[in-house]
Amino acid sequence: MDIYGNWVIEVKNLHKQYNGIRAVSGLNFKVRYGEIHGLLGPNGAGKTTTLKIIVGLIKKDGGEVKVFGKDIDKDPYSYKKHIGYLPEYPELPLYLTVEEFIRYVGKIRDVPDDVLNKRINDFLEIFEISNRRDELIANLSQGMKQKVAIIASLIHRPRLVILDEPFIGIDPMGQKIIKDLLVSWVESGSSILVSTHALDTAERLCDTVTIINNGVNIATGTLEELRSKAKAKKGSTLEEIFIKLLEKKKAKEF
Amino acid sequence: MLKVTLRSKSIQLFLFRLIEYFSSLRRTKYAAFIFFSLMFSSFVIGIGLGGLTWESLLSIKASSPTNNIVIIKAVNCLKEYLYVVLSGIFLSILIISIRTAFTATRTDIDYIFTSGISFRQYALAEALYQLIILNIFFTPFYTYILILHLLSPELFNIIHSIIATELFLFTGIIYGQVLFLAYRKYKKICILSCILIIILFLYPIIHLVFSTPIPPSKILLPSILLVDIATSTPPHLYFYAYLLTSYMLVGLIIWYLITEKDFFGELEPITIGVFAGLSERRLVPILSRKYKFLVKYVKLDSSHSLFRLHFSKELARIVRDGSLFVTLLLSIIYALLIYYILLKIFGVSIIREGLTDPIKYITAILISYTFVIFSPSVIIERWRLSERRSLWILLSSATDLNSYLNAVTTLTILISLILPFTLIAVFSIFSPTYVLLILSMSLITLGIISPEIAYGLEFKYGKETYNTFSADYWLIVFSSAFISALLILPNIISLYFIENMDPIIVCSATILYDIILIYLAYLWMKKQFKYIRIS
Repeated sequence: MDIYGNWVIEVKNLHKQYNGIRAVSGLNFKVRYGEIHGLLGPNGAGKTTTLKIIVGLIKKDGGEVKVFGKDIDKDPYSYKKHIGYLPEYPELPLYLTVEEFIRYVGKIRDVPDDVLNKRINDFLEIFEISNRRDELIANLSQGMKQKVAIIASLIHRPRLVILDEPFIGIDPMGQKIIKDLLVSWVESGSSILVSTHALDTAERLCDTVTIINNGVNIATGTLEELRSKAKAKKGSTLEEIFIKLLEKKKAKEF
Repeated sequence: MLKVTLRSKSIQLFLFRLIEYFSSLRRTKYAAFIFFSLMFSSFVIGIGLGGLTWESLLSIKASSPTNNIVIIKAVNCLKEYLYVVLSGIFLSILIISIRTAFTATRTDIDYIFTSGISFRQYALAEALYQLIILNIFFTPFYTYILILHLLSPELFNIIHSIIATELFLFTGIIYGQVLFLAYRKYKKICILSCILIIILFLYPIIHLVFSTPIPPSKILLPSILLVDIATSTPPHLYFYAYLLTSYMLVGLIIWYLITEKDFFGELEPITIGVFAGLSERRLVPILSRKYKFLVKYVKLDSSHSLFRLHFSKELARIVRDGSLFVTLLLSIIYALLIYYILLKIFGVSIIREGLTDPIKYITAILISYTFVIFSPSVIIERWRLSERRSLWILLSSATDLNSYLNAVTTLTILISLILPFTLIAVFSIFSPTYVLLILSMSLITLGIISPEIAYGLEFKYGKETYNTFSADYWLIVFSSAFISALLILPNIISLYFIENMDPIIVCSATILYDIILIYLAYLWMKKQFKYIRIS
């Protein structure tokens, strides 16, 4: 248990509409401290909207979101010091070099200079892009840019990392590096909320998952718990469980 | 059947382009209303210019009522100015077209280029789309000619002028496309042709400044022909119309032959006409490769305060993406233009006598205002295009957003003040002290509040975009220009009082008003930043 309680994120009855179209309608889920939690769902399920609400990029219409045990409406800034965020399509300042950008993010995240220098070196080594540190971001490939964006979201060693589709455009080696890093991150006490379409990745990476569709929660739990909810046979994959749960939900609605 | 297919595909693409361009107006219920109000104000500009010209012609007529030669001389003088303006427009269309004759978007490349559409169909749709956009910008010209026609039908033809303007614009677009395609095939020949074209189209201004022996009317350029069609009667009119049509037909034949080939591979995702049409994605690497000092000497300053960090980052952006260079260049051009216009209006005597009456200061201010208001627009446009989309970095952190906001606005204001200070230096030559003080305060205040208001509007109503100079951009620029001009009106009024009241009181009141205005505009802009949302 963390000093803030059991849950690093608590989402209760979350609502959000865009021009009358419901993106999230009554979503509930919790993320335990020290785990990797996957947010899964088909396109338009409301995953990105939910993550953006949690990091404070968009305002919710209703419901409650607590991060580190505190309501984000009551204190919309201080919790952000301890979170790292990677958007689905991160737009980076193309006119800065790789090092300048990471340093810029480190400074706005209050990382001391000596620590920042070391972390920049370490991360560039881990992601095997040390030789591109003085390159303008505009000159990088999509995969490289994604790696730089991931480094920027981790540079201040956040207690909670929120990643929206982190594996887009990254080669298998790069994906392995990220997965290993995230696992070691959690082992050192951080928590991770990750939204992904890659169900096989989620199956291997996440301790618990929440499946959402049309902005509502379909199921939450470990793979075993979901398997029993879906009444799926033993050994069935997350993909099979996912499809079964969605079909079950559709049949109920029908 | 082939023709039907050509037409339908081109028309479909053309309509798609128009919807894309005007889609931003559907974002808020007031946007379309404001846009059309601004269109209306461009009518008013045309009406105003037409009225002024007519008044000048009348005053000339009044001074020698029996002498028609005086009027003809005045009309010829007016024609010389129109030659310069229209030649400049035609030249700009051609030069910008070398890089941006085709405004291919990412969607075009992914979906339209792969759809089986021929290059000619694509080029035709593009030409029609650009014709509509150029027509929007030509509203003041049409109104101007219309007013002159209504006031003096024997001197100015309206129907012929409209048809000739359409021919003129379409010819410009077609030659622009030809130049774009030819440049990709025959670079060296094309560069030589461009130099020749530049000299030819600059001739009217060379003639105006240096009074060269050959009048521009002897060089039958499309811009010259357009003016001649607007102001002549048959049989000359038919001759000019025939020549202008020939220009277009020759262009169309070359265009038809050259667009036979597939040039899709030569098109890259570019946006309309900024920095010769290069997007930041392409511009930053090119500039930094060619001018290594941009990266070497303009660096991120991370060893001081947050304000310095953000300021240095913004400075790096505007230096490395070229917007600082363009703004400085525009400031120099604007300053020279203002100086030249004032000299032309008041004659060389103002250097000796100074701006001796309120009408002269007000004219000087009004001319300068127009340029000062628009000088920071390139910087704001680039912020809107690149920075707005990167705001997630700041908004998802707990950093002090005020230091970012202060850094962005301080930098823009500093750049925006370059033109006012240049103008103050120019005005100081020929203005009495108190007048100069009010002029200076007015220009400085305008240089500060116009970017503040533009940013404020952008924060509140702007949306993330990839389109340069889209309709909503013009909405924000023109709205901020209009509001800034309205807010600075008391300064102009104070110039009326300065002759009859104690100048110290008038100056003090003006300075106090300007300081309060600057502060309130800053507070308002800061408040708008709280509304900023990213999609």
